[in-house]
Amino acid sequence: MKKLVSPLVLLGPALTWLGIFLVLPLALIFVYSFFQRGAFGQIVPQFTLGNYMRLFNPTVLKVFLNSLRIASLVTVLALLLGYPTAYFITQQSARWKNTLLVLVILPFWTSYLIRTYAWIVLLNREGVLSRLLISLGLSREPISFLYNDTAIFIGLLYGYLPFMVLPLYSSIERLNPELREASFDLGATPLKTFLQVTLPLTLRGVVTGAIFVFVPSLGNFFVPELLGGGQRFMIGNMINNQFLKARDWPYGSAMAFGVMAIVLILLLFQAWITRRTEQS
Amino acid sequence: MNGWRELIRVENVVKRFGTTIAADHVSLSIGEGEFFALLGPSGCGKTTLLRMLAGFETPDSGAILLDGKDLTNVKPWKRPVNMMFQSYALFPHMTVYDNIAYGLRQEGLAAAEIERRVRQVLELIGLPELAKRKPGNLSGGQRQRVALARAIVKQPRVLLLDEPLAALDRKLRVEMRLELKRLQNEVGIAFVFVTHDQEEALSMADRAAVMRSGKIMQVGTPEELYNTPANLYVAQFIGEANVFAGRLQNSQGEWRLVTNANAYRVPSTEVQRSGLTNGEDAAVVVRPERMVIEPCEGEQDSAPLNRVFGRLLEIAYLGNARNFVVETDDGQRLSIQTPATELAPPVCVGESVCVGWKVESGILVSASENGGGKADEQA
Repeated sequence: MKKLVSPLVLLGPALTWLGIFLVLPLALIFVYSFFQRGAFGQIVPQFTLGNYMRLFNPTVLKVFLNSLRIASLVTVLALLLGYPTAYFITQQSARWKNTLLVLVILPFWTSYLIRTYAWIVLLNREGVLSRLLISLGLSREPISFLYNDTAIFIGLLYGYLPFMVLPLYSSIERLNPELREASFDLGATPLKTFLQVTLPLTLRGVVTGAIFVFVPSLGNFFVPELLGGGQRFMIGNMINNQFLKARDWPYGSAMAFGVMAIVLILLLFQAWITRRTEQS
Repeated sequence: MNGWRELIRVENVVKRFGTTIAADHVSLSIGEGEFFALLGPSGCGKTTLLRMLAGFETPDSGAILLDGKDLTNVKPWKRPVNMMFQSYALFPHMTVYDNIAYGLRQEGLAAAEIERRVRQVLELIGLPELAKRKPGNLSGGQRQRVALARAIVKQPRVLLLDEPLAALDRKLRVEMRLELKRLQNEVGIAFVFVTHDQEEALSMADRAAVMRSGKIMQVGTPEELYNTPANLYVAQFIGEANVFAGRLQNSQGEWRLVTNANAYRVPSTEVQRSGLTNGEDAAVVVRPERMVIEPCEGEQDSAPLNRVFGRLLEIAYLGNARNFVVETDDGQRLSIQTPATELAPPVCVGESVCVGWKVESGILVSASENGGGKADEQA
């Protein structure tokens, strides 16, 4: 078959854009990660693996592990909140479905950064929550809910929950409702039906949603910065510090590639799940 | 129906969806081991009735009994009833074997027993070699058999089939009719199937219920539905029908149907059967194969025939029959069918012809489509 438009014309603009603004900077960072830092923070083009070796120092590892822990927990919570939400939306009439989906993506109309500031207003000592507790007589002192891991959880979960709901929604929506009925008909209770039919057949949505939440949670730096108050560190903050404060670009670059390695492994896992479910 | 014993009883069931009524005081009895069809156009409520039997819908009022026990509010997973879905609804992530074993595993049977029954039913549908395939790698006909196997392996009291043959191509569909009949005979389970295809219903069912707008118009064997329809709706829905509408009149002990243009003799047995009386609006229905066509040769007076005159529009040779389309003098179209084994009648397209039928071939029904006292009577 003759193609009417060459693929190069269709993809050209996007490829150029990605090439200049994604691939090129990444390549640059990749090269930097093998260079050394000069005495004044400049980059000395001398090959070393030292930056990568330094990733295994206990302080850095601790921040890595803590970040993985926070991102994993956010992902699990997002899944637990997101699945019932997505399921509920698929059960509504067409008009309600659209309304609810708009509500899910409504927060994107404002910058995530600004919405994170809004959480400070809600959670700080003079904040809405604190005052509410006092006026209800549940607390006599003003309480700050900021500057701990919980505040970071809240901020990340809030920000990335829609990324969980949307892929789940689309995979549940695509499921033929007769499959669920067939399972009931064959004697399976609703719980068994969910575990044996609905969940396995929406696994793609689960994995996609989990990656959409996990990856940006892992790399996020302004939520721990603002809601963690710089007390609680995540990888994003550490990378940010290397570039902007310590002025050790090669080390920061190596950290960035460490995070990318984790993400890459996850994406391979997703591809594997996708292939497995598509075979059926 | 020798030794007919009631298995399912549907009592006065009503089901509404918003303003539409899917089941309007439906009552019905289905016998043990019976092959029963719910027949009607789309939107007549036949699928809703099937789904109420499966437990996916609950009647607004009325009851559904199985073996005398009230099933109305029993959950689908607790009913001794299984369904074959129109989309087949095979689980795409499981093999054929696992699909069929699924229902048995829910019962908590021993693995060996499950294996034995799955193998047995795979033999029954003739696909033992496909156990390890996934549904995505099966043909339409194979998928249909697996769906059937998955339902009958549970040995339900009743098997429900939602448009079982609709997704197959025509040739396979005709083959599967016989196959379904054979299987039903072999397993001895009552089959209740929904179809909009009257040919399918007539060829497979022991009895069928003709539905329209949530109401049951008539229940009967295929022959009863075809030869003694309870009303004009059933007469027109089942098979082809030539309809003459008019008023029933009794003159000097002889019954006639008087139309605008003509008067046709009506057998008195039909008057009795239909319960219609003198002066009522009525219609005479004549099946195409009960009509004869011949050239008009002056005045004819063969006594037992009703006659009507018209012009021949079309002849179609169908292999096993010839089909004639005639437009009568008052503009009505008639369809006449004669067996191809007989000599072709000496008529030509465009010429005047004479169409006739034996008086006793006319079926008398009430002119209103719902009418006729027999509509609500159950078998």
